[in-house]
Amino acid sequence: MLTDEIEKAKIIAIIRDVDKNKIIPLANALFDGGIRFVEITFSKNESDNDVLDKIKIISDNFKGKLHVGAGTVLNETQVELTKKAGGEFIVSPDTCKEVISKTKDLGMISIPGAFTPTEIVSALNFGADFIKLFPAKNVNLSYIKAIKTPLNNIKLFAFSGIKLNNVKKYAKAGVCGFGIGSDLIDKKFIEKNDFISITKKAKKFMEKIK
Amino acid sequence: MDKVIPVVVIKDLKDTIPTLQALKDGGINCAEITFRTACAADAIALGVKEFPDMNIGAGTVVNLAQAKKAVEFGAKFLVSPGLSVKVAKFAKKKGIPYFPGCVTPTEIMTALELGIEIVKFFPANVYGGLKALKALSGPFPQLKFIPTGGVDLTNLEEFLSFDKIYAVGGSFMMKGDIKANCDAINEIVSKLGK
Repeated sequence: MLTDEIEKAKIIAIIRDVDKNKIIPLANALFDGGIRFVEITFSKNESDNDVLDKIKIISDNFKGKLHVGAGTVLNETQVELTKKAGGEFIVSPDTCKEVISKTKDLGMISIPGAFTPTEIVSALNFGADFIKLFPAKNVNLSYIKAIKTPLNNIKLFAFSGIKLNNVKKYAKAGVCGFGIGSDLIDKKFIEKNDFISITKKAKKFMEKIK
Repeated sequence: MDKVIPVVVIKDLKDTIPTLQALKDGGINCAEITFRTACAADAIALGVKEFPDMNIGAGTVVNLAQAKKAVEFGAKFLVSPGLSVKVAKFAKKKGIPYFPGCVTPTEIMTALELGIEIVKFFPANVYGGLKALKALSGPFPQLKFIPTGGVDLTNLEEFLSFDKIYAVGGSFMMKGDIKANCDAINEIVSKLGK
């Protein structure tokens, strides 16, 4: 099951606004560093078609190596197009019933954003596989423990603000996985085509969550 | 309803009677038995049968199926960590009080639209405690709260002093000596004249 694999992998690398022609070396670097799940994020800075092209590039070139999905998915059309491009999971900032239902109808993994108990429980009832706890940045870690007391079966992925120096604290507080963006895929490295540094960073993250 | 609603986790059905008896002996006549354990529904049924005058409800009700089961097994009220519109409509139809967890103004307004005027506030300490409750009471003067999570004997008096607090929830009285905890609670409640 892909849900088991994602739980085992623990990290979803978030690729946002990275040029199309750098996707293959970046994906290679992440794979070499131990990453198995990558999210290509819909963004205001580029067209949806560009994002979908990148999903297709990874899906076509990394079969059996990397699982690719889409992030910041806000509507059903984006869900459908992600599926067509070869995406296997859908991440959203919010709890949108239509997006979650469409994702499950198409047989993909649903990871909607939720924060309050109402949002979390709604997301689960709509069919979510995992909850993206967003924004996790600066969240009081006792919050994670508190919501996991009654909701002890929920599987939380912490997104935003996850860094090498705090990933362990979040894991200890009870999240089962992480969405990691800028601290892993550093814009400086991308600009300089320094993909080796990204592999090194990925390895450090993998070491921390072992 | 009592001013303190014990959140009771029954892991083994045979613990039901002694646990509820201890609360009753302590002068607390209600209990929220959470749906976190496999025997929760049976514990509710047993509790309702053995303690017919006790106000026994179901907690951690996260979906309609659980709500239906809880009511079928005799729960006299329902509590959720969050707000479920489906559970709210079902409870209303059945005429059973439903206390959903609401922390944002949007969630509170949704509850009000469903005819709910008492909400759980969870986890209370993380969402700003009493200060947040006072702020939320400004735009929603009709609303009463059941803060849960982070309320204990050290701050119970402070919480209950605020007139928008319907009751407080928690499992703080279940740890250690239940009787002694209940005595401490009763002292605070009677001091406040509630």
